[in-house]
Amino acid sequence: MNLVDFLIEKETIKLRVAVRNWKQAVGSGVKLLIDQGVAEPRYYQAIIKSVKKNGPYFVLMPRVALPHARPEEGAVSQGFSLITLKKPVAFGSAENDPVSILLSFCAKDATAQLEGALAQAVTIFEDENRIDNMINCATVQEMIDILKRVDFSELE
Amino acid sequence: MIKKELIITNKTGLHMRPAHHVVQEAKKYTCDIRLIKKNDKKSANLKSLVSLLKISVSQNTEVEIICEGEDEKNAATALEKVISSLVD
Repeated sequence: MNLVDFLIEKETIKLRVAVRNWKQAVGSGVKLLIDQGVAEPRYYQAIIKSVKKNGPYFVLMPRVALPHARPEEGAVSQGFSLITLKKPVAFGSAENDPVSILLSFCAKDATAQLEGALAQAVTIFEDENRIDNMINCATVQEMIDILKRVDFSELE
Repeated sequence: MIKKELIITNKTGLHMRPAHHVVQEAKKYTCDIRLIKKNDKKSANLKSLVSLLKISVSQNTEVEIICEGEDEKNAATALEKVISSLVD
C-alpha cells in the first residue's frame, strides 16, 4: 500500500502531539506503526540505538525527520505514520533543528525501503510551502487534503 | 566538466545515512555536481539529500557523477572516494 493510502486507511496521522524530547517524538510516531502491526516494539529501540550510534541521520531537512531503522530490526511490512508536534524538539542536528514533523516508516527489506518508502516520503517534503501548511494543520482532514495533492508520478 | 563512472557497491545503496554522507561531501565544493543513474537516466543534484533520495540509488546501480565548475577536479576525486568506500 502506498504512503498516502496507508496514512488515510490506517489512521496513522496525529496532529500537535505534546512531547518533551526527541525520544518521545519518535516513540509517538513509531507507536502508530506498532499498533497497526507493521513494526514490532523493538523497532523503536533500534531507532533510538541507531541515533545514539550514528547521530540524527534521518533528519531530512529543517523541521522534518523520517525516523526508521533497518528492516531486520523489527519491521514486519511496509507502513507509515505522520505526526506533527505541538512544540518542536531538537534532535541534535545543527543544520536542521528543531523538528516539527515526523514521518516514520518501515519496510520489509532494504530495496522496498529505499525504492518504496523513502522515495515517497521525501517527495512529500520537496515543497517548502507544503511543510508550512502541514505544520499548521489543525485537523486530520486538512492533512489528508494536503497529502492527496502530492504528485508522486515522477517516481514511476 | 569531469565525469566519473561508478557502481554503487554498498549493500543498502544510497539509503538515508550513506546518502547523507555523500551530500555532506558534495556540499564542500562550489562546482555543480549531479548524479545520473545509467539505467533509467534519472538524475539528482548531489548537494540535495531530498533530490538524491528521490531517485532511489540501490546496490549495483551504475551511475555517472558529473562535476562542473572551478573545483570540479577535487570534487570528482573526493566523491569517487567517498562513494566507493561506503560500507553499509
